[in-house]
Amino acid sequence: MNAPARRPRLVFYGLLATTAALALLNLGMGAVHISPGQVLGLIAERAGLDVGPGATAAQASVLWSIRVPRILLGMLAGGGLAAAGVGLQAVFRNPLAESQVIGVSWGAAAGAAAALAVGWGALSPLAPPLAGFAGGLAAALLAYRIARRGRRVEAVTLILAGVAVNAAGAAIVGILVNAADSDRVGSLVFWSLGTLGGATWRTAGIVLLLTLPGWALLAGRAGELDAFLLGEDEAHHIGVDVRRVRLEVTGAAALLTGAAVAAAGVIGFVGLLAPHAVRLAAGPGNRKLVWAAALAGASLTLAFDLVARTAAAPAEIPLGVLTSLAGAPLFLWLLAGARRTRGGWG
Amino acid sequence: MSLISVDGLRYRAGGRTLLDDIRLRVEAGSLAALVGPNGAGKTTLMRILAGDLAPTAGTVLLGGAPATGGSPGETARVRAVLPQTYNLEFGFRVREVAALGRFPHRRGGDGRADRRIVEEALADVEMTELADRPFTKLSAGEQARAMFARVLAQRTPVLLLDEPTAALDVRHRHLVMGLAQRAARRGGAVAAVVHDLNLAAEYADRVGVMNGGRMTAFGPPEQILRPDLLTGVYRCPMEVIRHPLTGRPLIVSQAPGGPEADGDV
Repeated sequence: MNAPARRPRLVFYGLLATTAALALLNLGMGAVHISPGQVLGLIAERAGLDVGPGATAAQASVLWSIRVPRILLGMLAGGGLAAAGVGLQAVFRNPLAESQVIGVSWGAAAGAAAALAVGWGALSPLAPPLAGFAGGLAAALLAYRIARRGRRVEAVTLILAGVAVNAAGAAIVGILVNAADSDRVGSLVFWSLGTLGGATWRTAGIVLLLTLPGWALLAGRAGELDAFLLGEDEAHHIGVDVRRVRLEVTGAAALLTGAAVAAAGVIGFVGLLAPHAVRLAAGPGNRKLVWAAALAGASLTLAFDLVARTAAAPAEIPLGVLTSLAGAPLFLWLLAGARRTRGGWG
Repeated sequence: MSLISVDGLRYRAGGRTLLDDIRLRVEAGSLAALVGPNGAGKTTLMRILAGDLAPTAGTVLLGGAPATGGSPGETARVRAVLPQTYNLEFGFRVREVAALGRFPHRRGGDGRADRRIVEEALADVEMTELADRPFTKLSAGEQARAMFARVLAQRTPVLLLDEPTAALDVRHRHLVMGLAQRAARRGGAVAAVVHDLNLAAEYADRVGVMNGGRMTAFGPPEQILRPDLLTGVYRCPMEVIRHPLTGRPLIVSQAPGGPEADGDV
């Protein structure tokens, strides 16, 4: 029996259309309703075209100052976390590897929160995401060091090390939140649960600045990521500089995660949900997977954010809570699959 | 010219000397079979040749360049490695696994010439029909052939094969050893760990007998595959007779514990 047909091109364009549709939906829905026609009209107006149904000044203001930055941040964070998952799954040869699972997310959250607590956020808007990158990278390398045994990375140990690193990171965030001014505690707690609510043009711009190099690096190493799936020794046998590529890819994943977490808190499991969904439809080849998973991560985040904003309106559900709700069952399913096919990861 | 050239090789790990005083030469055009009992150091030697392990002392040259420490890409254009075990985490298809052999040649290696080489390699190992199957769904023998196709697709002068025939049925043992021999005849050098002494006798130009981390004997099969030497090394009575058709040595073992169990080598 041959494998089911793969349609990577169809998957890619399908995801592109889905992302665009969800973006349009997100732009229109909320306390101030803006119809899709009005959204397109307002965008056309920016481009100097006077078409479509008119919109009020309030609608235009909500669209441009709140909703557009929010969907941009959502797409960048989701697309970044999904690509980070692709990279981590390949270099650690572990289908469960993901920013939150192996500790990168809470390491990044601790770094970003620490930078904010000591006032670096006022020095440069780049300081929190870069501190998040440093914290995430340190967390990933620590988990890797502990899980490495000879030439292989023990799958279970990597996850368990991630549990411990996450606990430490969350504790640091907790201490910093506790020490914060009482009027900021609420927003910090909400941030740590994952939310796009803090999106501004500036945060979206900073995340874009850090996400583009992360994506570019992962896409440029896609061939090496394929080689890693054979094994570290085998990757070396076919010409991969294993140590260097592993460090580069882990660094790119930490950069993507650091940027997303500093702006939007811990949005867990997107790096698990998006790559695995795309693999089912387009196969495991990383050249296509990096970009398709980034699109899937972007549309997943937009879909979850739509629910987060509208399901309990006027209250907002933290986005990270929703992604975890969807991601945890997938994690368990992958775990059960591993037990079924090879008796677990003892 | 010796494509594989090992001198004074010693390898120590965990306080034990696993390989000592190894000398090995495999000329262009030659297939060398490494034989010996379990734990003799064959796989360790292969891993050092592959650059997975760095020698404690001695020199290991492949095509004139050190086996370890060079640019991984350049080394991968000199030697291809078939490991003894492997596992793939995600469901690559057979053709995609074989195509990974083109990786060191041109970034990506999916040009028209690369694809032709991959298809040839798949045809060589009789895997064309199975090329679209997920690797993880194959039998052990089919996986071994798919991996061997990857090694062939790498098109390197040096082939390092650790038990290429272990999982294979009789037909495919001959197929794979024949392909290894063909690679040698085309000017390559092949070093292969082989447990089946009769396959070594039939296909190897040189046989190296390893025991206790040393190269006990090295030479043409007719000189090396002798009953006294084999009985001593394997601690199992061995007879060598002539193959009635080919005239090659044919090695037959008996249950250990007989009068010849304590060989005199």
